[in-house]
Order: sequence, then C-alpha cells, then structure tokens
Amino acid sequence: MSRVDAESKATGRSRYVADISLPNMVYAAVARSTSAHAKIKKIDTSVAEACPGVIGVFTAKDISQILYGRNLIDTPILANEKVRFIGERVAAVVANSRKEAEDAAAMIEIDYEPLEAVYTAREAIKEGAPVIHPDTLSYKGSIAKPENSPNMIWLGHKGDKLAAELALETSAFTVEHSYRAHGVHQGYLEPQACIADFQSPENVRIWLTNKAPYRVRNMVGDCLGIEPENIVLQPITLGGDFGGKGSPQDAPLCTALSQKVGRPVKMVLHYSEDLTAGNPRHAVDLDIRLGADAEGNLTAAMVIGYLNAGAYGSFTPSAKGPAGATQLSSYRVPAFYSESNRVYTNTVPRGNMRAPGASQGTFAIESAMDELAHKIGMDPIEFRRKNLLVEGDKDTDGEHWIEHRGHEVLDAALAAFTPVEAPPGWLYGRGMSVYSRHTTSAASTSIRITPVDDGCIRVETPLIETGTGSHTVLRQLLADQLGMPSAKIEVVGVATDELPRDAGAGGSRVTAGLATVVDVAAKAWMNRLRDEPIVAEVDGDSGVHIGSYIVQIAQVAVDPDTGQFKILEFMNAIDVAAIINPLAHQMQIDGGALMGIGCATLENLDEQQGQVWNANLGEYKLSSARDAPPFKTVLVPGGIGIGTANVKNIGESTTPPVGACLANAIFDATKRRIRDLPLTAEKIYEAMRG
Amino acid sequence: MKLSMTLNGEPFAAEIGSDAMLVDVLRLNQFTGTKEGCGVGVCGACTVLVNNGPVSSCIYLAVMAEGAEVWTVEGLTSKDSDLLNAFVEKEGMQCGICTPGQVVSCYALGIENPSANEEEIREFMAGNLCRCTGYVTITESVRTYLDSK
Repeated sequence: MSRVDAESKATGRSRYVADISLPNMVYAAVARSTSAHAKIKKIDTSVAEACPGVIGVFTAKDISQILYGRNLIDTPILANEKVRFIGERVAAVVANSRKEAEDAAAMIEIDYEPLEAVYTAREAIKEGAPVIHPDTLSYKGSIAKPENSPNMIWLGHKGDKLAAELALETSAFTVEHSYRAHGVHQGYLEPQACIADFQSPENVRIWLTNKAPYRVRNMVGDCLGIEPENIVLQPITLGGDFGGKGSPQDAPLCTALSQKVGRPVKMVLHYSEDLTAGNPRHAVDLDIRLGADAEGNLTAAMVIGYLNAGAYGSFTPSAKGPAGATQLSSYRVPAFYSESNRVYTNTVPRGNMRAPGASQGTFAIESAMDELAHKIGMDPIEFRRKNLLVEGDKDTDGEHWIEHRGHEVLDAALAAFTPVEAPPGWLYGRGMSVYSRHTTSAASTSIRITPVDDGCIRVETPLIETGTGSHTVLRQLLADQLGMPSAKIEVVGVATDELPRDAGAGGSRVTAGLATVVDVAAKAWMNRLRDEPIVAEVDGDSGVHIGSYIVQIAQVAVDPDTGQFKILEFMNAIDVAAIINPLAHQMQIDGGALMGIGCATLENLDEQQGQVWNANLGEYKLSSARDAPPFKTVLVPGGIGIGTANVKNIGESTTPPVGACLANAIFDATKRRIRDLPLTAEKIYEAMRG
Repeated sequence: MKLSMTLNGEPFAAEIGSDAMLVDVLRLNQFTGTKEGCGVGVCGACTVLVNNGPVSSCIYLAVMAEGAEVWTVEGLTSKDSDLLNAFVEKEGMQCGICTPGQVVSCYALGIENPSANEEEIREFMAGNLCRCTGYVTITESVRTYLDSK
C-alpha cells in the first residue's frame, strides 16, 4: 500500500495552512526593519491607516510586550524601541485582503537612529563590540554569565583544555586550521503561514506551519497571558520542516492581532520574508587542532566553535545548542577539549536545521581528519579505520554506547565501491566522510484508536506529518501489532485538545516514539473489555540510547580549466536495524544527502552588513532534479535498534557528512583544500591558480 | 475586469484585478491544489497548464489566460487516472507542497516528449524543485506515467 496521504497530495486535496479560509477572516502583513541595529525614533502609521481596506495598524505599544521563546525568552512580538536585524517585525497592518495589508504596510514610516552593528560571532565577542541585548542576563531562561561578553548567549566547555594542549604539543603530527560553515536556510518550499482565531481568552484556535503544536500552545499562551489549554492548535499538512518549522514564528503576533480586531487573522509570508526573517541555521566558524602519534593514533583534539545566533536566541531547543557544532562523535580521542561560543549578532535569528550544528561541525572535523592523514602520510581511509570507536570505547562526551559499527559500515562501503570514470580532461577525485548520530528512546506522544464499521479502526494522532511518512509508519506499526491489514486502518491528524501530548517531530526519534506508543496501544486494544475507543500515551525515556554510523564516499570530476565540478556518484553506507517502511527510509537517505549537497555547493544565505542579498529562490539556489547526482545506497543490517520495533534513526544521518566528503574529494582531485563553504567553482579555480 | 477561460474543461469566469496573478485567481476560487512557493517563478509549485504548456502561475498575469484552456492538478488527476496512479504507486512525494506542480509538469512532458529518457525527464522536470525526496521517486513516477502512455 502507498502512503496514507499519497492520493490527497497528488490530487492537490491536502490542506496546508495557506489553503485554509475561515468565515470573516482578515489578513495581516508587517513592516520590517530596514536597519540592522537602531533605535526606533518614530513610527508614523497615519498614511497606512488611511489606505483602502485597512482595519487597523498596530505597533509594540498596542499589544503584549512580554517576550517569547522556547528556552531563552528574548524575542518581542513587535520590535519595541529597538530593532536588531534587517527583517525584524516593527509594525503590523490588518486589512480585508492580503494585498491591501501589504500595500498599507509599505506605507508605514519608521524613523531610525542607527546604532553600530556587528555581524559575525568572532567580532561580536570582541571587547568594545556593540551590545545587542543590554539585558541578556535578566531574560527568562538566560544562561549567560556576567563575566563573558554581553553578546555571549552561552559559552560552553567540554573536556580538559590544558590536557588537550599538552597532548597536542607532544604529538608527532598535528594540524591546526580554521573552517567556516556558512548560514543556509532549511529550504522548505512552503513559506511560514499562520491563522489565529481569538474568540475569547478561553477559546483560541491556531493553524500554523509548525511541527510541535503543544510547544507552540505554551509559548503563545505565556507571552499573551492565555492558559495554554485554551489555545487549540489545529491539524494541518506541513509543507516541509527540516528543523525550520519548530518555532512559533508569527503565531504570537497573529493571535494578538486577532484579539485586537475580533476576527480570524491570516498571515502568509512571501518566500523573501522567510529568507530574511525565518530561522536559518547558524553560521559557524571553527578553529580545529588535531594531533596523532607516529603510528597514526589520534592523541588530542581541540574544537573551538563560534556560532552566529543572529539577533535573537529563542528558537533553538537549548540555549546551549546546537550541540552538534562542536561534537567529535566517531573517534577515540584520548585528550579532548571543545568550546562553544553562541553569540548574538545583528543578523537573522537562527534556529535548527536537520541535525542541528552537526553539518557545520562535521564539515570541519572530517576535513581536518583528512588533512591530518595526509600530513602523516597515511591513506585517509586507513587513518579513520584506525581511530574509529570500537566496543568498550567511550566517546568524547565520556559515553559508552550499546554498539559501535563504524568498521562494519566502512568495510561495506569499500566493498561496494566501484570507480566511475571522469570525463576526458577532467581531474578525478574520491573523498570520504564519517558521521555517527546517536539518538535516545525518549518518546512523548499519544494516540486514540476508535472502532468503526466492518472491523476497521480509526487512529487519531496529534503528530504533525512533516512529509517524512510518519502517519504511514504509524499505520504500518499498528497493522503489524494488531495483526490487521493496513487497508482497515485510517490515520487522522487531530487538534491539541483531542489528545494529551506530542513532543513534535525531531531528533530522528519519530519512528521510535511511534513504535513505543503503538506497543502501549496494542496492549490496551487487545485487553479492552468493550468495543470502545482507547487512548495510549507515552512520556519518558526508557534509557536506551543507540547510535548509527554512516560512511559517505563521493566521486567527483573537476574541470582543471574552470574549477567546475561534477559529482559522478555519491554513496551512503548506513548502519541499520529493522526498517519499517523501506521507501520512506530510502527517501530520508537520498533527500538528506541531496540537501547536504545543495547546502555544500549551491546555497548560501548571503548576508552583507546584515542584509540578505539573495532573498529569493532565483538567487538562493536549491538543487533541482538535474543537479542530483547518481546515488548509491549500502545498508548494513544487523544493528541494535530501539524498542520492540528495533528501529534506528535515519532522518538526520546523511546531511551532516556531505560538506567534508565533497571537500575531501575535491582535494583528492586538485590537491587544493577549500576550508570555507560553499564549495564553488570560483573557489576551486582560485585555489588551483593560487 | 472580467476573465473568461476554460478551467479543467469547464467554462470559468471571474472578476479580477488587472495585476492579479493566475495563481491568486485560482486559489481565491477554491482551486487551492495549485500552491505558491517561491513567488518568483522558480520553484514550480504553482505550475498549471495553459493551452497545453506548463507555466508558473505565480508570475503569469491572469489576464493573459483570457480565452485560454487552463488545467490544474485537480482537473488533470481527475481526467487521467494513470497520472495520479504513477505518483501514488511510486510515492513521488513527501511533504507534498511541490507535488501538484510535479504532477502538472509530468503531464506536460507526456504531451511534449512521451518517450523522454532519464536525462530528458530530469531536464524537463528541473523547473519543479523538491526539498524532500532527492528526486528519485519523482523521476520514477514520471517514468511510470510516460510508460503508461
């Protein structure tokens, strides 16, 4: 059987937020800051108010000034007194149509008194840099320290700095380089959108392009003084997530506006707004030092990350995150030290993207591993083989994992490797990259099973289907556990007031979480006394943490005259346990890898003085079918998965290692090392000339 | 001003602004199967068929469709079951926001070059972006549809 949503998506019947209209609904648009850092001297809304169709124009003084956020609560609904990035919401118009709202918003006049601005993490923590949030320490959820730069959201350390330095000084071989992983957008093709219908403080309904509805309920409630239970997030179809649809975005604003005008308010962003005021991934500068002994055993690693968090820090799950940026997850490192500087700048606020931080960090680490191998004079593959974690080893966080299958995956990748010829006159290169992603068994969700006619059941879930096939997986797991055909099971998304909980899609944990709740549900269903609905819920962590290794091998051809390069073949070799839905699993592998390739070669959130210069998809290039290389997949079965379903993570596995894999292949072809993403023909050309 | 065209085989008339884009006219008239993604004619989510050729309706002035024969995903999948079946069977989708555009472009390729090879399929479909799938299942869906013709 195909996906539960295949027919409705292929016919255009699926309803996304932008497709929904409510009776009496009106439209909002915002005037955005044109200054990266400034005091707001005056906002003149008189012309906008007189525009046709306008119902009201609102600024910060008209609505709640309570800040919102996920853990760090630092974001205003509308800028109050000060703007901190180009694209920040300053004033909002509500009008009878979207066009009228947008036309009027363009007529709002805002006078700014410019302040000195700062755009990179390294600059922002220098002595004397302009202070972006004078009251960082007092924000709810703040973990900033008074002894650090006022722009430092969080300065975290792991390991022993002195020991790592000492080990590096006495190592036979060392490398020390700086790498830069640039900012990119998640690239979902559905722009952020919201409809809020504030009927009363006891009755608020929200349709939002968001994958974590219970979390949004709490965040909107907190900043508007509404009991979260009185806010009901409605089921929606989501047009892509990749980490970018986890923040409340414009839900607090639309809810406040709906309260003001007493009608449902809809706001759909243009893609240009999404690129300038969404929540793209952090740009990260990394200083890496690696050491090895004469035999090629790693001795020490130092990883210092400077993470550009943009103007607000509210959208990442932990103010300490994204943790992946400074992790070194696959190797045995006797002396390890990492430092994560997460820093405010006057740029677009940052959020999560598929394996948060790991794409940036892995680019640097896996590039440096290659560089060290060459310095030692070892084959980069053999150098990795020698240092991969094995059973009994602890990783750089001091954790022991249930298994380490790096060697099996590496061997499987090499066994499956077949060289592909480069076009005549082009340089051939092969590169490798390794990544291991660990995930927990934490599960927090709930479902209801209701018997319907003819022995069929209806399964209700608040889990938002982000596109991965989660609702289809739910149907399959239930079919297996209840021993009934999938055709007799209907899966229906429901609102947050229908069921108690769902943590939202993320952390590569959806399938494992569904398997856990299906186990509980199946028992309750089998033991039910009468033919009535049952509700099953899970909320906790069984303590089992599992990992999955991935080895990528890229074969590239580089044109020596122009620097242009082609990916001849891209291989993903992955450690797997049971696979519930092979096609959905495969699409995570291919789609994740192509996203990695796009981010590493085409995409670049090109910020100049805080202004995104390529704020449209004509200039911000996503990979097309023509850009996708031939993929080869090698599954290495036999791993230990989570729960009775025995599943491993997959959604965030293939994106992070891509950047280094390609940079290593380009090095192999050209003997030139590119240490800053994206990898472009221009950079390769310059490097070959230089 | 008034727009008259044939939409999915039926007469269609609407009062429109002279600067209205076709995507907006369709969506305001309940044809929400056609999606707006990038808004600048790049991503292909808004692809519809005008006189048998694919156009990006987000940059196509509605007035230009005066007297034209316009087909959207709703109409094409209801008149051509092979088209729908190909995408359902091969699961040429994940989040689905680009799918209506992919389906319409696939149909257009069927008119223009039904014997397209893999490279020609990818070339023709390059105007329909997908962030989810990596394009393997979409390309297979198109192949399956062309083979059915």
